[in-house]
Amino acid sequence: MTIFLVEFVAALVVLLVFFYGVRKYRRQLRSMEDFRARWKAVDIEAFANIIDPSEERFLRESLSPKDFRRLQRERLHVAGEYLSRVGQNAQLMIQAGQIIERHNSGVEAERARAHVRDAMRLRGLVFRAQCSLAVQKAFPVSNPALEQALRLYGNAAHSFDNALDPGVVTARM
Amino acid sequence: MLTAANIASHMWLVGGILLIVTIALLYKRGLHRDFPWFFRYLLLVLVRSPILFAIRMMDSTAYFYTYWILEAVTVAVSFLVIFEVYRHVLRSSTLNIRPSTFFTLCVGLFAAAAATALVIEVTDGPALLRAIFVLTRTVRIMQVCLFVLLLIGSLFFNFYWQSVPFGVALGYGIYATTEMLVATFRSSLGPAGDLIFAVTKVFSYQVAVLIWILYIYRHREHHALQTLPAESLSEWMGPLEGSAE
Repeated sequence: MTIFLVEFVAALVVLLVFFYGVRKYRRQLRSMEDFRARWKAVDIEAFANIIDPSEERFLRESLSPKDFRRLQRERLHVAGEYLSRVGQNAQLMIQAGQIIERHNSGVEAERARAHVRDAMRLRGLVFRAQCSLAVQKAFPVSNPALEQALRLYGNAAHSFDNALDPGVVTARM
Repeated sequence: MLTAANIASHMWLVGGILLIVTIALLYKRGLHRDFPWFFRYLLLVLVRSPILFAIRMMDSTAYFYTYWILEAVTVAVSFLVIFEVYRHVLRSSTLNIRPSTFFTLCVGLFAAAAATALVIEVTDGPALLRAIFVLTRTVRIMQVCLFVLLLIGSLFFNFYWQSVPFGVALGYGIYATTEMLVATFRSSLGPAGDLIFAVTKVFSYQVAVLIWILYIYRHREHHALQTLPAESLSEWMGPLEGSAE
């Protein structure tokens, strides 16, 4: 009976994964308007400032330990929000790139493919940074993973801009 | 009077009709060219039952061997269908999967699934029957794990799914999970659980076929994102310009 219960719980977990899969499938990108509506604005400069180690050092030296811990918690919370937005944007980039790659050929498809690769790498880095952030919330220190994710986000966004260059798209249309 | 045997045979008949509808729809929409292994799998499942029925009338020993040979072939083809789904979903990603990669993944999963199946198996009975149960369970665990792995990857990266591969994964995943669960239930109940197992298995397969029909019907070749207006790009790319410089 214990085995059956364990398997029953495992089956429920599997069905839950399928349920989330269906939800995600139903929310796939439909159009560019849909893409724009879901795109989350990210203030890169503010994000860079929040995770800047020199800024952190400055605050540590200027504030009392108690005030620094309070402020650092807030800074990490905001950094988490930013990371979540970058992660969601990376996911949007992956799907948009795959759609464009699938429905085009030649140079556009190749560009879209390269863009998907960049966005996937970015998604992985964001995840790593999120894990790192969770640790940092417990033990506040400077975070190299966050900085690397930020740098890659800038590069990926730039390459996506090139992949979906308006000139290329309108020429095809 | 409705007996268990009657219910089961009626359900098989309905299942056959649903399979014919699925095959016809797949063929009519030209999707058999994009999903050749899924098409072959459906044909195989469709012709399997009449063949087995005919052999059963003639010789029970021949039926036993034919059943298990056809079962092995069906399982092999089902893995090719899963590979087809993987290739469609991961086509343009860095995880672009090769047959050798998929085979390695299957071997790894086989070891884990076989160990799990051996732990789960509780039925006392002839060694051959127990071996068959363990092997069947192993295959189902592998199939479910392959679909779950792909879905978890998709949830993480937000992969783009076309209608048919998603329908295949969903339908087959639900069927395999239900069958696995009911098989354990049968093991716990012994022979009394046979009827529940048979009816649930056929019913869950019919649900899977209905899901396939729905997703084949909803399949669209074109996507609106292809015709995105050029002037809209600056709106969402605007905030990123500063970082890209």
